[in-house]
Formats: sequence, structure tokens, C-alpha cells
Amino acid sequence: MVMTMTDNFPLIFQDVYKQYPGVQALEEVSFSIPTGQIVGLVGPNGSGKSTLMKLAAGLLRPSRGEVRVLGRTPGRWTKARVAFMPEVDHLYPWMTVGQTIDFVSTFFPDWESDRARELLDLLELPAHRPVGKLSKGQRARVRLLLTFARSATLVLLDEPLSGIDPPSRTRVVNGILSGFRPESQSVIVSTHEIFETESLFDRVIVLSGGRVSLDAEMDQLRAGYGRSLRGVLEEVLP
Amino acid sequence: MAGYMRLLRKEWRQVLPAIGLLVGAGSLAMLLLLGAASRLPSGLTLMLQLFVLGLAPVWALWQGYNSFRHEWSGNQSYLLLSLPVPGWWLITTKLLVIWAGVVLYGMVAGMGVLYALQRIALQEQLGLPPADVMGIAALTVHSVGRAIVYGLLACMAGAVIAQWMWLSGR
Repeated sequence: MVMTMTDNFPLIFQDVYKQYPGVQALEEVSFSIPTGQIVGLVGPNGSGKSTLMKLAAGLLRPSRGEVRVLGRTPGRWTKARVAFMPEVDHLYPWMTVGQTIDFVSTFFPDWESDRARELLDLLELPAHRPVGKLSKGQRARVRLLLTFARSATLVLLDEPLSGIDPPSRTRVVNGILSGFRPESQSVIVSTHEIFETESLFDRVIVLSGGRVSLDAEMDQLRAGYGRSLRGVLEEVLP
Repeated sequence: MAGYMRLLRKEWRQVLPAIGLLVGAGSLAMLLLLGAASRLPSGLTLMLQLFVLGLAPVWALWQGYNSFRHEWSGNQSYLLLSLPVPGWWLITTKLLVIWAGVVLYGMVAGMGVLYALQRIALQEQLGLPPADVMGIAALTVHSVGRAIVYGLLACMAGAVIAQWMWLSGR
């Protein structure tokens, strides 16, 4: 069997620009993510993290440059293989947790029902409660379940800890760790909550003003700078 | 097509309260008119029933707009757009359910129109013989059919308006 570049790198950004009316969200962004890594995408608010995630998820198209997901331009085919957890609360409040799982599972051939049941227990979620009656932390955990109950090749988590209380944050981080399959998956976690997530990352990409200002393995980073990611960011970010 | 049916069920469940309200209000209006029919001129009863029927496209326009607008503002668009399904599935399931509401409402309001036409025919105000059942049925079907067709066009227009407002950032 011939191995191609895209087999090893499920996500490739090549000189990508994204412009909204009056705003340059991303500029000259290039990187590739290999299988088996958990990559932290960090940067301040408005640095382009969510735009980058949406481009990878196929919700947006680049203004210039090329995004390749599993060797293809993002679209219907890649959506079936990419699990995207957006920053916003995108669930239907009138559906119960069980109905939400049932609804989403219909569309994804890589859905694993046993895994979903395991995660339901692990993340301590009430299957019969309507999503609208859950706490913010519980809703974030439902979104995490929907993401990790699939054997997707590429997992995109946009601000998974945003607005979640500290005890729930630990559960979410544990959920990410227990859901990750390094032999077949890559995970990108976009966040500005570095303290809780730093231990997850194999590599970090720092975005600032829509540009990549740092892209390094965590080991190299710690050895080179000899301090925590927070300390490195303070030095790197303007 | 399991995915399509699933989306259709989701839309149906979501729009069901609005359809229930519409059909309930339509039934109530029809019953009130039927109750007052003996005190009103037949022509006026028919006009009022046609007015009730004519509200179907207005509701469809509002519901078409609201259905799409609600999904964008509630962030559920992220869920729908990340599903590996063709875009036309997302649009047609919404329109189909709203249109089903229009058809249901049209049938209820149509019964009122049928009754009013029958009264007029009985009084021979249309010059129809009282037994011209086919003529009355054809007029009713024509009125209801128009309401249903206009309803479909109206919900499509509502969807386009919602989309345009979203794209233009309003």
C-alpha cells in the first residue's frame, strides 16, 4: 500500500488567507498536522482561531490559498470524516440528550454507539433531560460526546472550555484525553485557556493578528524556553 | 434517505407548535363564522372565509423567514452545516414542513369556504342549481389550491429574505 503525504497529514493549510468584509481574519497561514498529535491552537481573542477551525471543518472557504483535509478540499466528503465541536452552543434546547445523540448519529457512518454510551457514563450526562435544562458545563460535555463518539480522523475542538466552571473543565479535559485515539486521529484544540489544556498538547501553534507567530513541539518549546506555555506566550505575543 | 427523513422529523417537531397554533386559530375562526353565518349575508360569510384562507400565505411567509432566521441566530446552523448532507436537504426539509402546515390549514379553512359556497348555492345567488355539488367542490378546490401554491411561494420568499438579511449582517 502506497502511503501519501495526506495519509500522514490529515490537515494541511497552504498560504491561506481569509477575509471578511473589512476584516483580514487570516494571513499567509501555512502548517500541516500529522496523525497522532494533539495540537493546541492558541492566541488572543480575534486572532483567527475560530476562522481557522471553520475553514478546516468546511464551514467557510478560504479567500486565497488552499486547505486540504485528508487530501481533499473541505466539503461533504470531509465533513463525514471530521468531527467539529464549535465554540458556540449549537444544540437544540428542546431535544433531550438522548434525542440529540440519536439525531446526530444518523448522519455519520463512523458513529460508535457503544462509545457514545461509555462517554455518556464517563461524562455523567443525563440522557433523558432536555438540553435546554442542562448547565453550560453539561452542554459542553454533550458537545464533546458528539465529537468523540465518532472515529473521525480529524477532531476540531473550538474553545472547549469556554465559559465552563473549574470542576467541569477537569471533566472536559479528561473527556478529551479519554476520547483521543493517537493511532488514527489528530486533534486540534483551539483555546485561550492555556493553564488547563497545556498538558494535553504535543504541539502548539500560536496565532496573532491572523498570522502564525509560533509553531513548535511542546518538548522543544519547554527545552528552548525553559518555562510554561503561558510564559512563552507572554514573550511571543505582542 | 434516512438522513433526509431524520431532518424532516426534526423540522416537523420544531414547527409543530406553530402549525398547531395556526390550525387551531383557523378552526376557531371557522367555527365563529359558521356560528354567525345565519346572521350574516351569505356573500359576507364567503368573503370572511376566503380572508381566513388567505392568511395561509401570510403565515407561510412569516414562518419561512422565522424558521431560517431562528436557526442562524440560535447557532444551530453550525450543527446543520457540519452534517455531511447536501445543502438542498436542509432547505427543502424546512420548506416542506412549512408547506405541510399550509396544506393542513388550507384544508381546515377550505371547509369553511365549502360551507359558505354551499349556502350561497342553496340560495341560488351564484345562479347554481342547489344540487351542483361538483361546481361548489371545484370552486373550493380552486381557492384552497391557490392558497397552497401561494403558501409555497411565500415560505420560499421568507427563506430568501432571512438568508439575505443574514448575508447582509442585519
